Amino acid sequence: MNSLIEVKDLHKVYDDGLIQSLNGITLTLEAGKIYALMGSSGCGKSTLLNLIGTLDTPTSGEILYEGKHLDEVGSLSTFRRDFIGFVFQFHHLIPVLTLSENVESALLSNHDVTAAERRERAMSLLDEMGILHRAESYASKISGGERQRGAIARALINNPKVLLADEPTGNIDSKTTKLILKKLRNHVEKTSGTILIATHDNNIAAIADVQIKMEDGKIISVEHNQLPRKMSNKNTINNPEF
Amino acid sequence: MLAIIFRYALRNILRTPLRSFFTLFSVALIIMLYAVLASMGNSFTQQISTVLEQEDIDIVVQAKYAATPVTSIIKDTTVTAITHFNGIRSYDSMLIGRKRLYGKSSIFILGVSNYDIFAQRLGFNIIKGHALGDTTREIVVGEKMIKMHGVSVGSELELNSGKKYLIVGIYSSWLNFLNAGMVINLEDAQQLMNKEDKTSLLFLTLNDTTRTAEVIDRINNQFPDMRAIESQQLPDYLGPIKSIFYFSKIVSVMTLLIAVAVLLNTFIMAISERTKEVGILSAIGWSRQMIVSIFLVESLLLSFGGGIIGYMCSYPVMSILLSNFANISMYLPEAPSLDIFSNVLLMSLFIGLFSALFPALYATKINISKAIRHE
Repeated sequence: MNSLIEVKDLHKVYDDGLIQSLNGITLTLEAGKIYALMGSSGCGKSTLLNLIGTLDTPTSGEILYEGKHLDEVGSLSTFRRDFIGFVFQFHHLIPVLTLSENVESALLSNHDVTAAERRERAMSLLDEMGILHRAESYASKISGGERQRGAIARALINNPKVLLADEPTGNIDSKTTKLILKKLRNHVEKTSGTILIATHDNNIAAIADVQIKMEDGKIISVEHNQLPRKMSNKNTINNPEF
Repeated sequence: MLAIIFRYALRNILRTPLRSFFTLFSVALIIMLYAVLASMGNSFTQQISTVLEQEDIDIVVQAKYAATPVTSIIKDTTVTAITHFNGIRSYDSMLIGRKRLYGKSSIFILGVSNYDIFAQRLGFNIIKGHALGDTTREIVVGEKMIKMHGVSVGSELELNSGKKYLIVGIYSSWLNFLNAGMVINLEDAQQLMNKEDKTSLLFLTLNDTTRTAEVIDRINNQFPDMRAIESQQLPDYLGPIKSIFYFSKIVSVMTLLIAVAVLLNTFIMAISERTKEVGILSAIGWSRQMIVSIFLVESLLLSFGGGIIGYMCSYPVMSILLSNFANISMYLPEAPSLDIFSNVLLMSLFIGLFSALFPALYATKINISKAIRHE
């Protein structure tokens, strides 16, 4: 299998060593797989996502992206834009931008994409997420589920190979959760990418290919699901069969 | 991309309407003050400089230790000696003074040796009555004097105890400060100001301008109490003009600093409140330059908005000042000049860039994961 991310003996300490958030994490994320990162609050899940997503720097250890060190990838912001997508627990949309502008914003610095193409991609994703009718609504004026779907559309607009999601289905209803999981599965298949989802939700763990359990900054188990549940591509949020 | 950034910046301004309003208001107020004060300074210095540049005066002589022309004293004997130098084609002298009129504000009085030459040089246009003749105890007054003191042609002004002067004409001059004064014959002025046989300034015109430096050296050597200079240099030696020039510069710098402080405070607050947003934008791949550009556009919108509003407000404010405080009319033009407008635009640019750049650069240096967790 083609490994997209290799994490080697990763440590992260805060407050001059008083808090050891990660304690020797070694992990490989392979193309075409969804990983569920599970564990109690404070076990280091979000820290690991942040480090893989280049939002923070490790105290020691290394992370390879398709075999390359971070200092070999060039501009960090461009790398983040093109290679990594983020879905945050509380959506974190920009409140003064409309939903479509929020989705487009992740492509804004990509000068290879025209404004029309950017708009088209954003609208298409919003349509797939069932929130096209909210495209021109401000992020602050729509429901929590709609915001979370908007945040996922924003994370996917660049077709990133690595999608990092921190509790993407927290605080949203089961119907929306199913739609989001289906979309994430489709994305992995389409891009041959990988998704790492930090979650407490057993439904997500069930559809993941690999369940990684963490405790006190360490990985305590890695379980491969034999038959991860696939979701039909025909289903949409408006389809009664869903 | 620019359209989204512009919309984003504009909506951020509207996100905290009260704060944005007061920031805009403060910048506008500061720029308005600048426009009014700078107009005052520029107008006065320009008026003096223009006279000297336009007219055929080659050398100006004044008392060496006089801080202002009003305090300059040149005795008639000195005038006679200087004007007998070889190479001097013609000369004029002027006595300048101030006189309090009926206990009200003091006015400029110019005593001139030859009214016609001065009127021509200073662009006097008689709008009522007639010009100053050879008759004593006659005066012509500026149009603003009329408004200030409610007098007209035919009125008599008691300028000195028991001595009345007849207003024979009203003039209008492109030299704004002269419109608030009056002109009388030199001899009358000398009596009025108790400066018999004295003048304030002596203007010399040479036959050959290539000998200007030579004549200046000769006067300065022969009359150590006098200072002869080329006419274009006069503004540099006039105390009030120098003061106004420096005052104008100090006002500009102070204006800049206060406006930067106001906007800087706004942006430090805004950026502190939007630390999480900065983190999110960084996480989704925005470059540092793009994030900084958002704050710069916001800042420039506020600074240019405030600058333009302030400049426009200076028109009615100057009009109100002119109609209510006649004393300042000699310094204050009817409206701010286009030079002031271009300065306002430059200042707005500087204020906008300087106020937002450093807070924004600082904000983009914060650790992204910490920024996203920021509440």
